[in-house]
Amino acid sequence: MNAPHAITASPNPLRPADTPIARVRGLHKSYLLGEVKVPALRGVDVDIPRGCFTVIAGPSGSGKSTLLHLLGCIDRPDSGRVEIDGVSPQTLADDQLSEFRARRIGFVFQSFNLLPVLSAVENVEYAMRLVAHDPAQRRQRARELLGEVGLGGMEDRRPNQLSGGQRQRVAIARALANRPDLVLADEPTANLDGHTGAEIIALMRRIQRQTGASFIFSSHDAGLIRAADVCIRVADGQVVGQTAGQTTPRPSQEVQHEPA
Amino acid sequence: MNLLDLAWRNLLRNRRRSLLTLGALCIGAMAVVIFGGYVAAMINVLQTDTVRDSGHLQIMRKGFLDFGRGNPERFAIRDYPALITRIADDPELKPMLRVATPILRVQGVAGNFAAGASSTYAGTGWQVAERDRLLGWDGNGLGLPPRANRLQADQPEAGVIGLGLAQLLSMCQALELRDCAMPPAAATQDDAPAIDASLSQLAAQSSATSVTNATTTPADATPAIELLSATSGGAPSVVRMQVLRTERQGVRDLDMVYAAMPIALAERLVFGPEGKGASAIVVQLEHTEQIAAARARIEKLLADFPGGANMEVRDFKDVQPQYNQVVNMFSALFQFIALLMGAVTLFSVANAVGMSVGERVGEIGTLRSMGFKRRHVRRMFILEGALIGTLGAVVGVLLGTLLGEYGINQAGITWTPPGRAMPVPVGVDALNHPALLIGTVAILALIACLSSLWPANRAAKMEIVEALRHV
Ligand SMILES: Nc1ncnc2c1ncn2[C@@H]1O[C@H](COP(=O)(O)OP(=O)(O)OP(=O)(O)O)[C@@H](O)[C@H]1O
Ligand SMILES: [Mg+2]
Repeated sequence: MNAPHAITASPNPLRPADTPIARVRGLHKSYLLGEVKVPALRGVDVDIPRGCFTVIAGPSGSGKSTLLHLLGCIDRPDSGRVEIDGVSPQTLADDQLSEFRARRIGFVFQSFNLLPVLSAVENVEYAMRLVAHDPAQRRQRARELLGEVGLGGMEDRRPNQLSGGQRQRVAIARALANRPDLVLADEPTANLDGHTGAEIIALMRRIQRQTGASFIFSSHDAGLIRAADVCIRVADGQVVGQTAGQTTPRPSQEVQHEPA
Repeated sequence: MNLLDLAWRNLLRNRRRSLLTLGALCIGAMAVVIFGGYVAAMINVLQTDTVRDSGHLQIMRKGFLDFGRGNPERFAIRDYPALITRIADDPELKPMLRVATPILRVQGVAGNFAAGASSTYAGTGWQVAERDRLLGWDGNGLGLPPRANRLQADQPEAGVIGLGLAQLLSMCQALELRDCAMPPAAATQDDAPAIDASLSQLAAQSSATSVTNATTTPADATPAIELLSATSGGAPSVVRMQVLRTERQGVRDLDMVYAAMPIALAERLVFGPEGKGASAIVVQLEHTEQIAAARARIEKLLADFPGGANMEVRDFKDVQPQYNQVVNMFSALFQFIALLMGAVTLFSVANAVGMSVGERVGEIGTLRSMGFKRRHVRRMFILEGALIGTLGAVVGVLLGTLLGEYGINQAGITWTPPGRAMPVPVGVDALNHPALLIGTVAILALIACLSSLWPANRAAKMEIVEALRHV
């Protein structure tokens, strides 16, 4: 396969490949439900390896989303430390944190979260406003990215004219728009049927290989979990195991959906 | 795709709500423009009417406005013809000047001895032909027909009185007036003879010495009254004035005393047979905007004029203080309407943007997690409010102007300015007031921005994770 220049590996020359992309120490986070304090993370320590396709697996309510939010620097922990690529988001002011997310982190959501009034290509382009200033360049790269996720010819469709799987492909293209080092996907397949979900995971996996960026997704779907390089298991707000998955990339058609 | 385009698309997303908001804004802007244009038209009419009556500027002896009525002789400008010539011949004033004419205020007792009736009067002497020109001023381009000058240049002994004064003098029958009340029969009986006797005696004395009296005697067909005043020396003076007709005045107290006459007649009353003098020189300009320039120039001329140091130049707003009162009243009404419409704009935009924010919480969370800053979110929603606000204001101003100029103006609405007896046509004068149109758009758009500030700030302050839960 000939990788177009929209998606290319951008290894960070300052960081050796063996330093983790994310380092988490003693992470605590609880939510207030009225008067009651609901613990979501209860002392999480984990290193997430760089340049891998990592899954955070665990049953519902185990704290997967909470952990991803903290890794994505969109929430602040009660205590403990998160370090993304050597940067502690705790030390950054709100605007700096936004800047950091814009340049370093891409998000893929369970419900796709596209802007409904923008076409596919505009959704991807819009993310690029954060970093790239030349509109022609933005449009060009957005088209290339959409081609890369298999949506060539559908650039001008609005989200409501696309299927769920197609929407998630747009979202993946959007997450890649600013060449992030870290792509986070919280249950990206939960709103898709099994086959489509497997396709999306396969696509993400292929792109992870092409770009060399670190991908972390969460899932409680055993079939999808198997597709990952690294599997971090959480239960009840704690990491209960970290295993290396099959390191060789598996062809997407072999990814099977099994109900969790 | 730019941010404005995005705002526009988001407005189209909920067409019904956007249309409703747009409608409210439109109506607000229309109300401001139509009412503003109406007020502007009325002020124009009032100004035209006032300037026709009092000119733009009046040159008078210092203190005349306060004390002149009580002592017309002391506050008179005796050599007014020289001053008028100086003004009329000034090359700088010439292009602005329409009329410079003397007036003389006089008051005293008027009597209709034939009917045994008398009452006080407050009269003004005019140069009849110049008054014609004064009353024809139309510098605001309203196309109003000139106000009728009831004085007649070929009738130097004849004047006009208020309908109320005619009634008091029991002249209803003599003047063949309709809607004219006769005094109750018993009312004047007791004290009338005494006054009558002394007055008619005076009148008789005066007639004997008056030069002009000979010419007036044959005109018995026209009803006449005697006007009594005091001359410079304090000696009583009496003049017989034929009454051409009555002219109803809008203010009752004025109607009861009103008299207008040729200036020569008034001069005879104030200064005696050969005297000359004016209470003021009325200066009417081509355009109201020339007041400042003309006043400055006249003041300069006065400095070189003998006795000019004792004179002052007052504008029509000083001479007729009710002008400013009426203008202020209209302005207050307009401000009230504008305030109401501003509040309508404030609440409809705040509501529309607030609902938009409420519907797009998930979108806000998404944008923020992608790395858009709080101020980007804020700007996005303010832009939406500003867009709909500006759109509503522009459309409303256009519709209001169209409706006013081509709808209401064809409806033939009339208005009687305060103190006047005759109605004049008024409409909506929006096109001649670009400041009103542009100001309405600018202020309403500004209000729209301000009112979207609050919901936009709410959107900007949201916690990302909290917002993402609303997808
Ligand atoms: N906003 C919140 N308010 C109160 N409790 C919360 C909130 N968000 C999460 N929790 C609680 O925190 C715990 C962890 O939640 P989290 O969403 O991280 O789990 P999860 O692993 O993502 O679950 P799922 O697989 O169902 O998405 C759960 O017990 C949940 O009820
Ligand atoms: Mg979750």
